[in-house]
Amino acid sequence: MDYGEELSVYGDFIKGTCNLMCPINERKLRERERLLHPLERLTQPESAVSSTIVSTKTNHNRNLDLADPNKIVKSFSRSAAGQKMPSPSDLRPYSILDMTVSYLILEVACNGIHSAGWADRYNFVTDRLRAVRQDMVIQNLPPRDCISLLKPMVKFHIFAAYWLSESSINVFDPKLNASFLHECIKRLLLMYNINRKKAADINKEEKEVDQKCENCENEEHMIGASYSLINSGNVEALNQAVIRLGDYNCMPCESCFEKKAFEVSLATWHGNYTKVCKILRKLPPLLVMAAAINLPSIRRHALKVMTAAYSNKTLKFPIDVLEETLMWNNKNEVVEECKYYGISVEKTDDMKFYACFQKGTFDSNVKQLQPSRLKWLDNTLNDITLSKILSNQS
Amino acid sequence: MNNYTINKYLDEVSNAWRARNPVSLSNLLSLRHAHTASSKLHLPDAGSAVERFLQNPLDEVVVAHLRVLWALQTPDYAEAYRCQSLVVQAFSRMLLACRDDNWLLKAMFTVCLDLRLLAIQADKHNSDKGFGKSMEALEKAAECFMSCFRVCASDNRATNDDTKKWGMMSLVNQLFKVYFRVNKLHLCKPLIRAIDSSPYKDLFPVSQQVTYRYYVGRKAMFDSDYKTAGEYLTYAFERCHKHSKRNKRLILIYLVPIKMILGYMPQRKLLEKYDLLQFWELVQGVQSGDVRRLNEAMRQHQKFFVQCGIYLLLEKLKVIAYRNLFKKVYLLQKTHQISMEALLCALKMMDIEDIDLSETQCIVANLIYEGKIKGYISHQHQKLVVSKQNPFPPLSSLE
Repeated sequence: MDYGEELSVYGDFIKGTCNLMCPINERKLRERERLLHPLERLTQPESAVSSTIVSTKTNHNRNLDLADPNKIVKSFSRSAAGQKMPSPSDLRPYSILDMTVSYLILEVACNGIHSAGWADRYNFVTDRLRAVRQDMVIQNLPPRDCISLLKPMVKFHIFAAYWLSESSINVFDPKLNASFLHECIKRLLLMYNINRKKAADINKEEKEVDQKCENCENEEHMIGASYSLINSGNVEALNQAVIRLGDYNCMPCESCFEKKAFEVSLATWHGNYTKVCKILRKLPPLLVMAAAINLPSIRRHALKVMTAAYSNKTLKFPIDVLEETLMWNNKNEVVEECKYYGISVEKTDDMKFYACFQKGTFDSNVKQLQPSRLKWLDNTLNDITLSKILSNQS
Repeated sequence: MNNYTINKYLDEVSNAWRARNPVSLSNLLSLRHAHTASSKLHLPDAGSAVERFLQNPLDEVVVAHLRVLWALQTPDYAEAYRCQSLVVQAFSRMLLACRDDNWLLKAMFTVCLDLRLLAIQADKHNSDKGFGKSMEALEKAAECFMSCFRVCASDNRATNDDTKKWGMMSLVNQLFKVYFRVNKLHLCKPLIRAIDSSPYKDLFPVSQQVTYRYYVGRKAMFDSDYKTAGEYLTYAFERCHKHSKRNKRLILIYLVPIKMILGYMPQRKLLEKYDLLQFWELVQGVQSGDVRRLNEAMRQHQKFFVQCGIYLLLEKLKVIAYRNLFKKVYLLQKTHQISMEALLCALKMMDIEDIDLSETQCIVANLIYEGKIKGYISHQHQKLVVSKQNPFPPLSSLE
């Protein structure tokens, strides 16, 4: 059934006519009420800025109140009782939404990721993407369009979860980001499902072909893989993955990332920390980021298991091996984390560190550590490589 | 019964109501009773006729019921479903109004069961046509059941014989069936708590208890609480009527792997009797520590296992297969200090891909941590040192 037919079933949905990233009404309102985000203001030559600051204090800086029409983006406003249904002129059609997402991700988010102010950009982009989703839902866009809008959003939130994981709670709220991420990825997987079912209906007469998926460039597998890794070791997610992998028409090839991600999740569930880290190393950057969030819990479990399994009064376990197996950045981090969980660490004469595992010494009461970034991964990341990862070229 | 007239039908409803006859009222509101075949009862709007015979709110129930019969004739499943949910809603109001008495429960079971079956039909027709969320009707049906459930659960004043609390378990079972189908297991928890805290917990009819424990057992299984799952499913299996072979088989699909995880292997005879030989290869693989055989069996019957939702459960069996494999190595080597190389070699013989010493240690470490092997690993010497006494304690002895 095509989209037109569907409409006749569901009744008509409102269609947006706004051909700018931000409706004119909102722009005027926000200029008047001075609600512009710094990233939306009209930029001016340095000299002009300094002169206006000097000259006008009472007369409110006019330039600060003007929006750059190419930069202002519709902001999110909660739908609530008493609010009017948005008029078509306040809603953006798919083509504009698509342009907005590209602008937000490629121009705003992939800019200055190594500078301290990136968290501001993150907050800005997050809010504006939320508004995009709102427009998308109100107009009930077809699955194909939703997929292309949601895909970059999912990747953006995965990156943010990783990139800001070491920040303090004042700067970045991981819970909130995770809830946006889940909202996007669940809807995205649903859309893929609908699309796949439709395609299957069309091809019903044709014989089912067990094609190999080619080098796994399939974005659907990529997103499925991300979902498995974000929820690594979760029983429900594992069950879903089993069903999804069985649903695909293609035989997942050995290098299929979704299959690999499933193995990671399964290994997490089994507590097989060595296998988790072994596979992780071979995944593309985006998936490593998705998985890195779970490293603290994997390490915690590993140390807990090892305290029981290597428990001996005279034997010691080399820190180097731990560092290598569980993907720490350096020995210091390992030593710190061991001590944190109550495992004593010894330093020998040749300046080597050893963990002394003793049954019962593991402190289960201390809180799990905050996730940290991986140096080797960070070294490959800059504005350009990130834009490749977030757009569809990774 | 094809010439059941509306007057005759309404007369019978009225009699059943006045005589407070649970069985005949239940029959007269059922969609599976003979009266449904009479074309004279397929009425889209019988409001005026019914009102003359019956009082509110019974008239609402009957009018909606007749419209369901009409819609099923068309057949318009969406409309039939919508009207059946009106039946249940009106019924729950009627139930609430009927104080200190519970004779309506039987009819309530009937209309609720019909609603669930209709919802499944409606969803099927919807998704065949390619629109609507796949299980929308069924999810909405759960709300109707909940309104009945609330009436039953809050009936505190009536005596033991008259309380509507006797209706709780049957409704909970209906709700379980919905929640399992729409995959919202977390919603089961408050229901289980409601039954657990009820003084009638163990006094409900056995048939209801069997269904109830089957679902609670499966829920525990999803929460990886295998011991509880084993207890509940064992009760369900033992008390399930011996002629309900299909149900016994359904229970076994979950009970067999759970018992295996707990260390009890099923006999071939049992699996044969219930047409579950898919499990036999697994049993043999686990028992002999033949991980390769286990993997092959899982691959071979993957579709069946995934459909039953036990694929992950079987993954757990691998751990036990590893334990048995390592025990074999231990018995062969006749030493308490087993080299990691030997264990790795055994794993490699089982065609496990990409395995190395480090991962072997990890598998062994987890087994020690879970108490399935007694001993410790020496990284320095690359050895597993097992306890002199009972190094591989029987699984059934573990917590």
